[in-house]
Amino acid sequence: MMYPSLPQELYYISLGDEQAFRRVVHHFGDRLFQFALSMVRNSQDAEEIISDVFLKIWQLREHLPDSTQFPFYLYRAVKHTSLNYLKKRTRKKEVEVAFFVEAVKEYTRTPEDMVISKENMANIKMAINTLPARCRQIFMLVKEDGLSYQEVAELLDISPATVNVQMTIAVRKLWQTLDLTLQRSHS
Amino acid sequence: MNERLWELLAKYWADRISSEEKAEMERLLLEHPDHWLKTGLMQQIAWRPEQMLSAKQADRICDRIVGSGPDPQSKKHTVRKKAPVHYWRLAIVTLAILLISTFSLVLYRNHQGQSTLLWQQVSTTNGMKTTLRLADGSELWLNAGSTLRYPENFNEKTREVYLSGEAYFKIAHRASKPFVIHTHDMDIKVLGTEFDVRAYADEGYSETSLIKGAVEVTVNREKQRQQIFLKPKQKIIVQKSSMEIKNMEDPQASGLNLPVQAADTATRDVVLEPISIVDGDIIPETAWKENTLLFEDEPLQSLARRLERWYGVKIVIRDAAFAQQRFTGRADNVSLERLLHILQMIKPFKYAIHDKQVIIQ
Repeated sequence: MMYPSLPQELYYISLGDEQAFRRVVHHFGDRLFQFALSMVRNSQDAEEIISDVFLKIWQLREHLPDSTQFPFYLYRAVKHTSLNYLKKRTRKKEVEVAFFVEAVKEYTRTPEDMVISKENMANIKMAINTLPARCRQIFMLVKEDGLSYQEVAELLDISPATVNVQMTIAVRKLWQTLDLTLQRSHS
Repeated sequence: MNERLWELLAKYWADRISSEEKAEMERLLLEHPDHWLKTGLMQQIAWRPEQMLSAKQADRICDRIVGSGPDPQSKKHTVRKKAPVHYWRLAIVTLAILLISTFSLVLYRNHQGQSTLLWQQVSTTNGMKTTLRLADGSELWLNAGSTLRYPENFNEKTREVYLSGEAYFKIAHRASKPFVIHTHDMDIKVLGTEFDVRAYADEGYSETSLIKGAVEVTVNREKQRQQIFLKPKQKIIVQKSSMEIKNMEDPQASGLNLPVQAADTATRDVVLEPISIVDGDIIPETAWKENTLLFEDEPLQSLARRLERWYGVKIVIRDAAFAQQRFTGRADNVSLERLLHILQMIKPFKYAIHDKQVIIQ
């Protein structure tokens, strides 16, 4: 879910509105946490990293980037903070944590027979969650946070072409799941 | 299957597709009608990462940063110390705060008498301006011929005032306690900012000019309310409906104080315009508060109405054609005689002043 009221929230934050700040932390906190976790692989570290990044956001609240740049700015800050944590790491690496994705139906006006059933929704969810973790992460950064291929490439230290390939893989997989959906609704 | 199609679809869903690529994708989709159906299906899905950071953890992060400590806005407070936390100390402090706040809450309740607001009203006559400071520290300049109704103290949730006429507001910032100005044609909601509201009952329009920050304007329409978000250096002009203007021009009707809105079925015209800056640093919409009278290509008729308020006089223009003559000029803190002299230099005319009444021949 993108954040349509982000420009206003950022304006309120620049004025020192703590409620707006809390809303932004709640919106981005989870995905930034997952991103940090994918780098440092220790949930305590990840939480501290998020905390550090948002502290900086609050301190610099009068000089935050434009709302279109803001999500990338956050991720980049998390990346740099994570790298610093890795350098002076004190905590142990935990077992690899792979995060999963929920697929939710959005309200749309489509004819009855074109609506994805609950059962198929579960299939779609499974499809995305059986993708390699990296692929899923790229898909979410692009689809959910609206980051460009270029930005994702910079965050993950890969080439934009790799991002393109991974996105194609994700879409192909989902597409095949939808094939099943269609066949069933036709029969 | 077609790898290229997936690549294009991925870009399409990511909203990163060029127009050439989109054309190519559509061509590919046309070859396979089934794919069309699937693109529709795909749009029905929203993706959310499965939650890993709980709302509690997010709250904890927020508390650490903006905290519930003293003056969370000060820079000093935002420096987080990594010192070990002494939980027993924390407990004592929390208890103390709790006791104090309960006590003061009781005092406050007793004092306030269940949040009934005591309303005050300040009015300026024509030829007079005033400034005032509200309970929350907000400052405002009230132009001539205006009325502001405001509570002596604001309640805990909002700050609301009622305005007829013109005022410049410098709203003290209060997080999560919006300031709302109600006028006949629109409501203006802000958290903290500077702007001018002009809502005279005897003018054919009302406007809000934003100088700094952001405001949310709700236009009071007959059937629905329209919300508009203003950017700095932008103003919104709401034209009154023809019915209201008719009532306005008929002194008997307005004298009866009929509920004009009831008969008002026409929709209002709403216009957004940038604020221009003239003479280097003067903003026409707020010049009045510096005692600068600015008029740009303004018909004498409407200028006269402003002068009536400005100087507290009555102006009669005998020649209807001359009333439509347009004037452009500027006057800083000048007397009525001096101003009339300036106007005479722009377009010659004769006038006479008798007992607070100016008659322009």
